[in-house]
Amino acid sequence: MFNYTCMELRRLNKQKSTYIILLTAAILLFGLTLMLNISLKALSNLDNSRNNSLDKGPVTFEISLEEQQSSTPLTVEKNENPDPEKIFAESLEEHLDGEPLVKEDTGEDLLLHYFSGYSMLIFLIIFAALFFTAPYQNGYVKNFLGTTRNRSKFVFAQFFTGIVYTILLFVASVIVLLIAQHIFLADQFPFSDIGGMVKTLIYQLFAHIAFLAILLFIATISGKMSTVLISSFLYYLIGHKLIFDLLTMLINKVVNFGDDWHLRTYTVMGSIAQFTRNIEVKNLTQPLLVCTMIMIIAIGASCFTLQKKDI
Amino acid sequence: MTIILETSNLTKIYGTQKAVDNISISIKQGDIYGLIGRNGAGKTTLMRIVSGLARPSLGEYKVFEESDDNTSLTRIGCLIENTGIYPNLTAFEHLYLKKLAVGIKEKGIENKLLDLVGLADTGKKKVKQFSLGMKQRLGIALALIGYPDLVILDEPINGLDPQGIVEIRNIIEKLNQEEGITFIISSHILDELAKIGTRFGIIDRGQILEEIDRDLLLKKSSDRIELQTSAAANALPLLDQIQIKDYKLISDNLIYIYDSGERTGDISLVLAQHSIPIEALSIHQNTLEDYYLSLTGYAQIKNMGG
Repeated sequence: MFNYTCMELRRLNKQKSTYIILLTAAILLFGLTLMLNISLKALSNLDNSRNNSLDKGPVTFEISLEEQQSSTPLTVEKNENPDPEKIFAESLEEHLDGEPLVKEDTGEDLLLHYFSGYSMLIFLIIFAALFFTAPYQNGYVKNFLGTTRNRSKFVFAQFFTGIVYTILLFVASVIVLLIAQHIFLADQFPFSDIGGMVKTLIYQLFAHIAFLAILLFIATISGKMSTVLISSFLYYLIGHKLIFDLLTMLINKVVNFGDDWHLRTYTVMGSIAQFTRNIEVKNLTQPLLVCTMIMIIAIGASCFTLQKKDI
Repeated sequence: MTIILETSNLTKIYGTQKAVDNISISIKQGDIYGLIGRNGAGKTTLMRIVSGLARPSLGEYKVFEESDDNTSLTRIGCLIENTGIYPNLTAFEHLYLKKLAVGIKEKGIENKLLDLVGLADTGKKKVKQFSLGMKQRLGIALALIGYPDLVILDEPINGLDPQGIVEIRNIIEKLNQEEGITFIISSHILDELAKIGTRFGIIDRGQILEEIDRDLLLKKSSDRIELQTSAAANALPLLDQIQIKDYKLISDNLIYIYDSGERTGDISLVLAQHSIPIEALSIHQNTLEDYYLSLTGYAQIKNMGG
């Protein structure tokens, strides 16, 4: 396994895509923070103008279509004083997935939203599609996989290399976000609990590694970049919500687990969403257990598949 | 000599089709074993099984006199079908990756092998810019990492120019003679295979039709003189008279004389002296291709082609 790991780490180092993905992630995260800053400034200006102006109340327009058709005039209320808190939250939602932020949130919350909001999964999917499938797609496995009876070693080597890359991606992203938030959002989102943030990031890292294990399984079973990309993105974009919402609905019809119960919480993506800074210790067990189980199953299935597969 | 590879009733079934059907062969150390067969005959599947890339459905094989579960497979190098390469890496990097994978510590082995296969001057050129022949050479170099005892090459001279074919042939011969490496080679270019092979296995529809040594093959496909005469029966005693014993009466007017072409003068003289008309007297040279075609029953294809 050590030999294969050395080989995969060397390949990771030599492939351009390794650096391109990291660079893209850095630019994107920096750009999103900048855009957030611009949006907040615009909102701030709106807030100021609101305070300076008089409360004129709702403006009512009377639109008379035709008196014969309707005796009731149509009324459109144009509210000149929108709720800035609501707009603030909506604006943030445009930039980030997951739960909307509120103005009282800290820098840690903003930073962690990029992780709990599945942004990092996009980069992991692209990485896995390129890196994990390359030995099969290009046929390089034929050069060395016949020299061992235990092909699981190669699966573990790939997984270990993937973990290294996920850590790199996390570290690079956190550094970029810290710099960007320090430059653009230091006043609005001050940092107060770095330790809590690091702890949450470690949970997030663990959950992301579990997701990587699933991607490795898809790559091992298909050996094709296109299959990994299409299936993963479909699951990421629509499948995750659609499949588990439907299943939850069906299960709830058979057995009533209560309104709070949702099957999605038993998935890796569901666990990623749960790992927020405010998560209570008692609630940590379930997502951690879910991620561990899924990771073990995915790696085990990858080993079994490769062992039985003809190259 | 030591048996390096032995298969016993090896069978590979895909769905309902038997790609390899009950194959039992043995390859001795130091052999250059030529596997001959048309496309889809089962050559590649057999090679994939013995190189550890595919599992047999039935039967078993032993490499280096050990069971397939205990063998150190690092002693086998292979180039199966097209060369497995990463387009954006250089030839050196490919060899370095393989070196890491099999745990070879020897320094400079990459450059030595690149030099051996004629890719020493490729430098930082990416493999995606290589010609088909260069990729084949790289595939052979990859198979040779660690100087294995058994090298399995599937169509190694595919896409090579005539000069490249000669170079690869020389490399194989050199490694076989100097390093004692055993080779299993499949090729469609039968004449090239005939030049280096020491033993041949003819495979068709997943079955080995015949295993034959080079010497026996040469004897079986040796030159013959074809004599066409209207009085074939009368000509036979005359052949005995001039000490030609190895002949065969094919039809009323055709005799095959298994002798070198040097005796054509004697034959024509003795027949002329006894007033036996000669309609045609020609030298026919059998090739490995002829032998393969006659054995597989595809000879009519060649005859149709003229």
